[in-house]
Amino acid sequence: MDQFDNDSRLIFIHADMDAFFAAVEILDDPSLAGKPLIIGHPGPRGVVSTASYEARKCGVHSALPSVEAMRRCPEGIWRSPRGARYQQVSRQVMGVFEQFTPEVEPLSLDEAFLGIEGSLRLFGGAVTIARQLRQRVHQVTGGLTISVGVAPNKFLAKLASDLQKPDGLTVVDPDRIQQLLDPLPVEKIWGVGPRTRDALHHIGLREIRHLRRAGRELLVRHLGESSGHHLWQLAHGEDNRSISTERGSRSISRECTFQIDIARGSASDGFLREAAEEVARSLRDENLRARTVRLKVRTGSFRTMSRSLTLQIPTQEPGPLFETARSLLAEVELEGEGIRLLGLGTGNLIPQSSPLQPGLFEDRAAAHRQQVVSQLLDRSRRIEGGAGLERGKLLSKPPEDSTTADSKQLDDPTGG
Amino acid sequence: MKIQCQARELLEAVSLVSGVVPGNPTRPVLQQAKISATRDGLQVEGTDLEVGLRAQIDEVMVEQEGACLIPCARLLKVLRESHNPEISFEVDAAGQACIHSGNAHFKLPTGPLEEYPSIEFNPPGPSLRVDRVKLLQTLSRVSVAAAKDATRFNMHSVLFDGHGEELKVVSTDGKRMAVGAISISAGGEDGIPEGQYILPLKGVDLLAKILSSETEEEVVVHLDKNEVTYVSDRVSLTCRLVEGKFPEYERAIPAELENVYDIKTEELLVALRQTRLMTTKETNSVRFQFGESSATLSSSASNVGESKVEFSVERVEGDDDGFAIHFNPEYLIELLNKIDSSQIRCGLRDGKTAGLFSLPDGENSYRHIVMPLVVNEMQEA
Repeated sequence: MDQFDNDSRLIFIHADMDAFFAAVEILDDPSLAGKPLIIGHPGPRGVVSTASYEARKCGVHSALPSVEAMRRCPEGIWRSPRGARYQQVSRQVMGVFEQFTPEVEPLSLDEAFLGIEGSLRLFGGAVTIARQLRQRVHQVTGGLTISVGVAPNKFLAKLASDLQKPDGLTVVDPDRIQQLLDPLPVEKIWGVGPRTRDALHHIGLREIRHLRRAGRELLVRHLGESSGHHLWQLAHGEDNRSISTERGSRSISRECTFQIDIARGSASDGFLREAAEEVARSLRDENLRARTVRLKVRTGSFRTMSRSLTLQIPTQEPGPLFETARSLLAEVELEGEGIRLLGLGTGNLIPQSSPLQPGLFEDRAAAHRQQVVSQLLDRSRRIEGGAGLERGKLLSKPPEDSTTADSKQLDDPTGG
Repeated sequence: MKIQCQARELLEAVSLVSGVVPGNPTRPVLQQAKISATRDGLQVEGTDLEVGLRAQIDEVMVEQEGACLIPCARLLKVLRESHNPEISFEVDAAGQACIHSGNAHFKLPTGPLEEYPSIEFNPPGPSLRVDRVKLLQTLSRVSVAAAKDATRFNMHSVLFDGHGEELKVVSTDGKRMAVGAISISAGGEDGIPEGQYILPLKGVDLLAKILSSETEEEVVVHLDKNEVTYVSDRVSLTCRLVEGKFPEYERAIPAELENVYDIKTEELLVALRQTRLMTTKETNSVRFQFGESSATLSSSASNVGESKVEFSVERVEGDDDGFAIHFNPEYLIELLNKIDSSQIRCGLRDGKTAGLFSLPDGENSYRHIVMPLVVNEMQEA
C-alpha cells in the first residue's frame, strides 16, 4: 500500500466514524461493549439513529422503525441520543482533521471530506496521512475508530471508506478504478437511493458495469438530463467536485417525529420552544449567529412543507428563533391535518465576531436580559451536575391572548 | 377609434404608465394599457390595482372617438423604435390596433375592454398644498432610508404624518431612519390632512417622477383614509395606502447628543468610499474616531487588508474624544449621496447610541438616524 504515497493523484480522503453515536455511548459506558446497542427512541413511532455492529448483525440499521428493530433484536439495549455529547466528540474529531489540512468539509457530525493535495509533501503522502489520521482520532477521543477512504476524487473516497468498515483503510488505485467499480451494485453510488435503484433495476441495470455499458443516452432518457449525465460520470469514476469549506453552507437544526400527531397551538409551541432553546444553545456553543430560520412540517398524510425567513437581526437567542418559527407555522396550510413531524432549523450562519447591526426599534433592555439569561444557562451547563437550571418558558404570550399579543408584535424585531 | 399625435408625446405617456403596469400580474388584463380618445384628447391608463396612473395628451387629432386595450410593454417597444415625428393609431374592424409611423406599420391584438378595472381620480377629503421642489427634495432625501424588501410592506414605504401646518415625512428600514419636515397648507375646502398616512414606495417613486416634470411652484396632494391622489392637467396618479402600522418613529430619535461635528460632505464621502474597500460582506463596518479638528475613519478585514483615512471636521459641541463608533458604510454613502448639501452635521453620544445626521442650516428640516454596529472591541484590538 505504501507505494501509493508517491501517487500525487490521491488527493481526497473521506473519513467516517464507525457507528459513531453507539461508539460514544460505549466510550462513556464500557460495560456496553460487545453488546447489541441501539441508539434511538424505542417508542411506536421512533426510528433507529445508530446501531452497534453487534445489533447490525440482527438486521438493525439506522432509520429502521424502532418497532421493527425491537422485533429483529429483542435483546437490544436502547439508549436515547445525547446530541450535545456527540457534538463535543465531533468537534474533537474535526479538530484532528484540521491538523492535517485546512480543507475539511464536514458532511455531518461523524463524517467529512478532506482535500489533501496541499498536505501531501508535508506529511509524506496520502496513505501516511490516512494512517496518522486514524491513529490520532483513536488517541484524542480515547478509543473511537474511523474508516477512511483515499481516492482521486470525492465520490471514490466516500465509496472506499465504506468498503472495509469498521476500522478500515481503503485506497483506490487510480489505475484500477473501473475494476473496482464494475462489480458493485448500483446503490453503492452516492445519491442512488431506493427510488433510483428501483428505476435502474427496472431497466435491467443492477451493477455499475451495466450503467457504463448502457450508455449515457439511455440513462438520460430514464433519469433526466442532469441526473442521467451525473450518474454516467460517476459510473466511470469521474467526479470533479471540490472541497467546500464555506461555513455559510452549514446549518443547525432540530426536528422531531411525534408519538401521536399534534395540533397547531400549545403542543407545537411547546416543541418549538424546546427546539429553539437547543438550536440557540448550539449556535452559542459554536460562536455563530443565524440569519435564516427554517421550519419543516410533515402532516399525518406525509405532506412535507418547509418555510424559511431571513431575520432582520442575526441571532443566537431562542426568543427570535421561536417567534419566527411559530409565525412561519401559522402560515402553513395544514388543511385540517395533524402535525407528524416538526423541525426548526437555522441557516446562513455567521461568526459571532462579525459586526452586528442592532435595530432602531428593538427593545434592547429585553434583548440584553435574554442574553444574560443565556450566558447563565451556558455557564451552569458547563458545571458538572449543573443541569437543573432552565429558562422560564414565557418567551412570549400565548397566541390565544389576542388583546396583548398585538402590542407585543410591534417590538418583534423580525416582524417588520 | 382613430387618432394622430406626436410620437414623442405618446412615448412619454406610455413610458410613464409602464412604470405602473405589472410584469407578471395575477390578472393578465393588467398587462395592458388602456388608451381612450375623446373630445378632450387622448388618455393612457395603467394600473396594478394598487396604483393607477393616467397620462393625458391634449395635442391630438381625434378622427374617431373610442377606447382599446394594448399590451403595454409591447407598445412601449414599438414607440421606442418609431422614428417618424408623427404617429397615427387606429383600431380596425377586426379589433386590431394599427400603428403607422412613417413607412413602418404595426398591428397589435387588443384586449377585452370590459374586463379592465375602472380607476377613480376624483378624491374627496383633505388635501395639502406644498412647495413642489421642497416636497421632491424631501421625498428623495427621506425615501433612501426605506426598507428595500417589498415583503416588509409597512417599512417599504414613506410615512406622511400631518401636524397642522407641518408635515413630517419619514422612512425607515428598522436600522436607519430619515425624518423630514415641510410646511404645508390646506389644498382645498375639505381641510388639511392630520395624522398618519403610509405611502407605498412604488407610489412615492411615481409621484416623485411626475412632480419632477411638472412646472408649477406649488402642488396639491390629496390624502384620504385609503388613497393618496395627485391630479394635474397632464397626469393623474392614485395609490392605495399601506394598511399596517408604522414604527413609533419619534421614540427612536435620540435626544440631545453631546458631541456634534460639522463635516464636508464630499470629504466624508471620499473617506467612506476608500475605507469601504477594506471591508467584506461579513464585516461591513467602518470605525470613526473623532478629534477636535479631524477624524479618522478605518476598516480592516482578515484576508482583505486595512485602511485608515483622515478627514477634517469642525467640532461644534462636546469634548469627548474617547469613544469610537462603527457604522455600515453603505448606509452613510447612500445618505450622503442624497442630501444634496455641501455640509453635514453629525451628532453622537457614544459608540452605542444612534448617530444623528442633519443639515447645518435648519436641523429639524432633515434628520437621519443611523444605528451603529456592535463590534467586539477585543477582536478589533
